[in-house]
Amino acid sequence: MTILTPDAWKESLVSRHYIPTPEITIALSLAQSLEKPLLVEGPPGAGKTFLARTAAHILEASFIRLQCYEGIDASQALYEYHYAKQLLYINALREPLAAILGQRSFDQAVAELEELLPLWGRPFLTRRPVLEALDPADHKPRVLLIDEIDRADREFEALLLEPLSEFSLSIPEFGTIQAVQKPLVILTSNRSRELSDALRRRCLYVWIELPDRQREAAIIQSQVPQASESFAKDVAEFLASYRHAKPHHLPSIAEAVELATALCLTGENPRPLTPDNVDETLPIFAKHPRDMALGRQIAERKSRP
Amino acid sequence: MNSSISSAALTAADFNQSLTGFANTLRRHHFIVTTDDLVTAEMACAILKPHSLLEFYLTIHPCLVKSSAQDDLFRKQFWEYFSPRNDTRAEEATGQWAMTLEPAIFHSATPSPQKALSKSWKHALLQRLANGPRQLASFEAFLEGHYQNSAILVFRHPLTQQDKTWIVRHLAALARQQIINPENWPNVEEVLQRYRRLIEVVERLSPSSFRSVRRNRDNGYFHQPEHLSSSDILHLSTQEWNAPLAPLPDTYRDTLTAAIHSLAKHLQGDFSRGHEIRRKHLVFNYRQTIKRSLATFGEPAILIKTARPRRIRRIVTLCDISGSVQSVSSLFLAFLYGLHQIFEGRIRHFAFVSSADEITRHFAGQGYHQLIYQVLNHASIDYQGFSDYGALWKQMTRVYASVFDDNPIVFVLGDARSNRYPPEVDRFRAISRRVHAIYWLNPEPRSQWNLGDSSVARYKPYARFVEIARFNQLVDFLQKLPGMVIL
Repeated sequence: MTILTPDAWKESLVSRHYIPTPEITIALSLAQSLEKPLLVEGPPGAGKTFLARTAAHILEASFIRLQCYEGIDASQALYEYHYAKQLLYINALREPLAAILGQRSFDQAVAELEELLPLWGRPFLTRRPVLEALDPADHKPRVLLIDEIDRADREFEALLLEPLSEFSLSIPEFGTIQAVQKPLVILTSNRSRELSDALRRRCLYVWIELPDRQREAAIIQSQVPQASESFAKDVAEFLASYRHAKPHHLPSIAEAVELATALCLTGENPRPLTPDNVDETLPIFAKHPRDMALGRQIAERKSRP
Repeated sequence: MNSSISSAALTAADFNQSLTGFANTLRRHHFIVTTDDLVTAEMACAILKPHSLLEFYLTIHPCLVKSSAQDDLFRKQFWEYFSPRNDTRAEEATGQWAMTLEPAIFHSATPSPQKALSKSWKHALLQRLANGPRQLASFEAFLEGHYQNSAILVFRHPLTQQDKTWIVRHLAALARQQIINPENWPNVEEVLQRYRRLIEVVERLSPSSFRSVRRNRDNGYFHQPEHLSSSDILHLSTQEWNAPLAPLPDTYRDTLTAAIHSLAKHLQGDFSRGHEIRRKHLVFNYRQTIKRSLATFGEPAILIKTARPRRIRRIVTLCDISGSVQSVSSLFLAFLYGLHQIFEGRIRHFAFVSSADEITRHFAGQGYHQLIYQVLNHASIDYQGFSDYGALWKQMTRVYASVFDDNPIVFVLGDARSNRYPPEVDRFRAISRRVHAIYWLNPEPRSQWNLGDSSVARYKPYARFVEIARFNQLVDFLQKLPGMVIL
């Protein structure tokens, strides 16, 4: 995996329509150089997941996403043995094995069985996202996104400590698997709960805020080809005022882009957001009855000279 | 961020050398910097080779900062540590700054009588300072007598900023008079040191510093520090002076912790009627069935049923720290501290007066005493405001709505007095529908619950109100809570 400098990261991210802050590019560069996971925190919709996906594209690495939720455990995140497959093999090979091993002493039979049918070996090991990232079957680089880690239980964080600090995974039945090529690991959190210090200590940290007017306008311009500079600014200005009015649902960057796209859909030139057409676009960014009224109010206020 | 501050004169070696000192400064502010973090930051500097303070800041930031809560402190300390500054302390120590004050201030009369509280130390002190002691010894004796009183009274009588300025200026003027008298020279340094310390103390006192808990131990609260001797007062750290709440003593906290531990056994799991309900809801477990069948080659296949995954209960606490409940604030904070020790990671804390701020970050890796200091000095709360429960519910439903997502148990610690602001009962009802239960710990006696501006009657249909005014009541409540939850 090529190690990129902060400037190279900036250039690559911008070329892929992600407008980064200096903090993001420096953190990404350090995560690669220091081979440490990167913990990205920020409000929902600030672009954390998109950052990981874009980083995978830039590095031409396979992107693996582990979506965390309450109750997730090792069998869904790290690895699991394929018990049904084991059972099938045992049943299918029971008679041939009995014929082969029947003449041997007990010790010899056990040793030979281990060789003939390694029940706890790789063929029966199901790779879950973390193992797949550490020990990829195709030996290609990986970017592992552990998304919304704050949704998982605290105990689950402990399961990740070894992979995050050592880039290895200890499986009692098998042994320790060490990553030959260390993946770029990005963890995201919406801060619905505090993560443990042990996890934080193993990571570099970056906070991504919802974009300011300038950055949001740049993002819109970058992602919506029809958007002119003044149009992007208008949309960003509108959304900034809307967020400032504290709606129930804060529009994300994706919703900002969708709003701009919707306004560009009809006609040759993008339509400015006015009280007349705001109703058509409300479903994109207002996700609460009170927010809809708020959206109309802001549009009306903006249209006043 | 002040991007204009950059220094071409600084080299990478300078940065690394400074890094250790900066890390120590951060540690002094209860900011955890491990050796590993420091090494990571040094490696980051070696890789990226920052050439300006801003680049240096951006380089070490992801290595040392581990949560957004640390961000403000890091930023503030960084720019304070690395930016050029005037050494005001040195100037003060030499008494130079006193010389720059206008002469009129030195000779001004005693402050107007309405400013001076009768029978208070402030009045007496100003009177004496205005006249000026003739002998150093007498002045020292005078101070000696007043240190004791001032330490106690300064807790009780809030001084305005102007009052404090008066005292500082008079002390400074007096210090100058003493310094310029050659007879006093052998003792000048000592005297000056004492002046400086007193001045520092007075300067740093904020209006919130004058709150204190005045219950005695029999009531379960800590008594205010009247036992301090004059020498102790001079050696008190600024932190201690600024601690508005006397902390709950260790013995009380031990009892509280034991009660919370007992409660935890019921709270940890499903928070329901224990195992009975879970046993009734066993579900077929495919994985376990196949796994178990390996032992018998699948014949016979034993169906395995297991309980549904435990839903881990989360807790949210909302603690009023306004002046009206200050007598129990330290007790409530001790309760929250005890809860946090056990439910760390599943609990979020908010403190509020007229607006709320999340204070969960202050619990991480902190001792109880640091917690009190942090909450009362660093939370973004208007401590001088009036408690406004309506504003709290508004803020909680708008800004922190997600904290009620996981069907948590909510503890509200406060007197439910909204100071005539709208109580926003609808919002409170909406919250109560989203959470498992709301327990309202009210420090007021039941007889006063529905008097005056109390909103207890409005909130009561949606929460369980409990009177918690004394330590023993809290312990009793904790012991009964599991039973209440089952019901």
